[in-house]
Amino acid sequence: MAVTKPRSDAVRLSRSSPLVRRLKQSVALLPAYAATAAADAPPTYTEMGLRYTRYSEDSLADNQRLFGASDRYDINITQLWLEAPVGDSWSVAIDVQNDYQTGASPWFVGVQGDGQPGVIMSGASIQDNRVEVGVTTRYFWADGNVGFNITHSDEDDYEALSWSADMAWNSDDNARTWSASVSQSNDTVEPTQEKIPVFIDREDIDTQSAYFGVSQILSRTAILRVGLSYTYSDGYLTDPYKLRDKRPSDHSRWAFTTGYRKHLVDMGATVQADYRFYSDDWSMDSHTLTLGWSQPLGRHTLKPYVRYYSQRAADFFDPVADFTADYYADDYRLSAFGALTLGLNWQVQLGDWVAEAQVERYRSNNSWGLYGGDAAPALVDFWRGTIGLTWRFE
Amino acid sequence: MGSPGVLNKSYVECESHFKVMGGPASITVQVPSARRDVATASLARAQQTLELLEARYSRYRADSIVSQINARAGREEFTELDEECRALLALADTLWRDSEGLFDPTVGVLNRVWDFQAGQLVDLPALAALQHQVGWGSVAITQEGVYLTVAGSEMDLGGLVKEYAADTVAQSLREQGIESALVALAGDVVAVGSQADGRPWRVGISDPLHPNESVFSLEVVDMAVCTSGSYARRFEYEGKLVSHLLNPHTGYPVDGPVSVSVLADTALIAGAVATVACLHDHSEAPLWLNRCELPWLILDAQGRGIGPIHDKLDIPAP
Repeated sequence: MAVTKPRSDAVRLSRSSPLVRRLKQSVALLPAYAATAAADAPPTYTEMGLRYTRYSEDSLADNQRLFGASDRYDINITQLWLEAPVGDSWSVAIDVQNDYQTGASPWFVGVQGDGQPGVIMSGASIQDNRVEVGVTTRYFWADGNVGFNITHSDEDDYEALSWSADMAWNSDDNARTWSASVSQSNDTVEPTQEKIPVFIDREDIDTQSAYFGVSQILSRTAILRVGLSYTYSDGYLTDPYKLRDKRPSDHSRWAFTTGYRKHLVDMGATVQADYRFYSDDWSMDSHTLTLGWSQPLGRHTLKPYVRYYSQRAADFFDPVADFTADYYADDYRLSAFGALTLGLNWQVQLGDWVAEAQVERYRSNNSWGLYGGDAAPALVDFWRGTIGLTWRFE
Repeated sequence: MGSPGVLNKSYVECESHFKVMGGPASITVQVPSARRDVATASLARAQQTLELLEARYSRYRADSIVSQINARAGREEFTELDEECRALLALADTLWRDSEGLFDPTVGVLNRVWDFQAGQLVDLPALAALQHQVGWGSVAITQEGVYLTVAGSEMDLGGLVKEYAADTVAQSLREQGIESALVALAGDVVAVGSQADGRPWRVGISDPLHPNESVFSLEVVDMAVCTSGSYARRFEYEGKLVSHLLNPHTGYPVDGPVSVSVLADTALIAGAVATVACLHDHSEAPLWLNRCELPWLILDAQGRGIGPIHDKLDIPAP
């Protein structure tokens, strides 16, 4: 048989099918395949998930309370999401979240008989429901992806409409990924008039933010990520439910983030360290350090983690607000404090299903912080518990 | 060992031919004349790499990891896995799942009941007895390692290791700064770059009837072409010429394609897809290949082709 003439140009390959991508993923750790496995592509499966979180603040101690209920916020959060590939190059995701919130919050801080500040709580328990719906579409090409998201959030006294665009692209050797994003949110505050007086009907807040980051594969088992973000808000930034609260009408903040992941081959585990430095023009610098250990055990993965947080007080914060100043606030969230979080996450893979549970304890204290400053009464401590189920199918 | 030839004034071609993993191997490297020493050294290193991989994974070597795993079958003793072996097993696992069990590295024990030369099943009762020893599903892979839970069962990673070896050699040539090379381990061929003069590499596809001759040749750059099939080893069973490959579910020969070639960016993927295609029967094989969305070519015993690669060849009218 005669040898057939080959076609003049070389045969070229198109994008990989989901099946071939799965095959590539199985051997991605081997040096001969490191470069071919990392090409960007939509997920090979459709993912559906449901997660329930309960957030519960500890009651306020009697010696910190002057008047009002001691029960603070409880929030029940339900999340439902769906992400699916569309054709060869697109994916679409829908996220729906419902928060149901009950309880009371500090209204203002006064002075107790012993001269110490004490909190006057907002009286009867409020009930509020927030519904958020977000849609994201994403386009993938061989070296990167670009996404566009639009989210609407609505509750009795607050409405927000935001959009964001993000992009990630890989270097030729797939060892480095750059990412960038921008977002914009237009919010409206319309405080509800109930037990406590409020002094506005309707105000707006506009926020823009931008992020740029790089992640670099350092070796076959280590990856480092750094990023910088800037956020600017202007509008009514005062808390309308606090009696003695008046904040500047604009707020600029910067954050530097970095993270390191190292896979320990012998133990099959991954250690992670993340750090964030935040600084703003209200002088509220903060540091966050998170350390975690992810340990697979057969079908299970356990991840204990610990987080330390410390912030400087806003320059207009006082434990008992001085409402003769230009700006003033007694909100504990603007005070100097340190906080410690301990958490444990557990996941189990059951065929196409992943079940997860997480529990987290957060405690904060003025004396745990890196920065000096007057202590606010009513610093918050809370528990957070989550259970979730994710289903992936083709 | 390296036999240098003059390509043109500025480039030389060095080739080596040897036997490894039960088949012929040839490696061709084209380098600037001044780097001839690098080329000969890299050929020697490539052969060494292939021999090491053969020693590590051959089931015919008593000290290989595969022999160790097989010797411990049914004895509740795990064999520790390094990253490489774990990844190859993970790939085998993915192929097993995605082929609905047709690809099964434990099928080899069934070869004992067939006399391929005489074209008959020699031991029907033994087939039934051996079938419970076949089944990738009973291979336990955990953090501790791998363990064949059924006594008497055996695994053979030969099918994947040859392609992995071709990729490993190609990758190491690239890392040594070699921009033009062709690594061919029997039917598994990896092209590194193009030829030194810029022309694509030409890879021949064997004629099923005359395996030493090419029926087509393909032009490729930085790509792998793997040909899998039973063209060299077919036998007549109940009046039909069938493949020596056995269906792990039935223990009987597969009535599938004679020769399947697949193009991919690595030999491991091209070879795995081609191997699984050969385990499907004639009508199912194109469906599997289309699902993988890689360029493919099926040849029948007469050398007639179908598939996307064939459609792109300039074939003269008969």
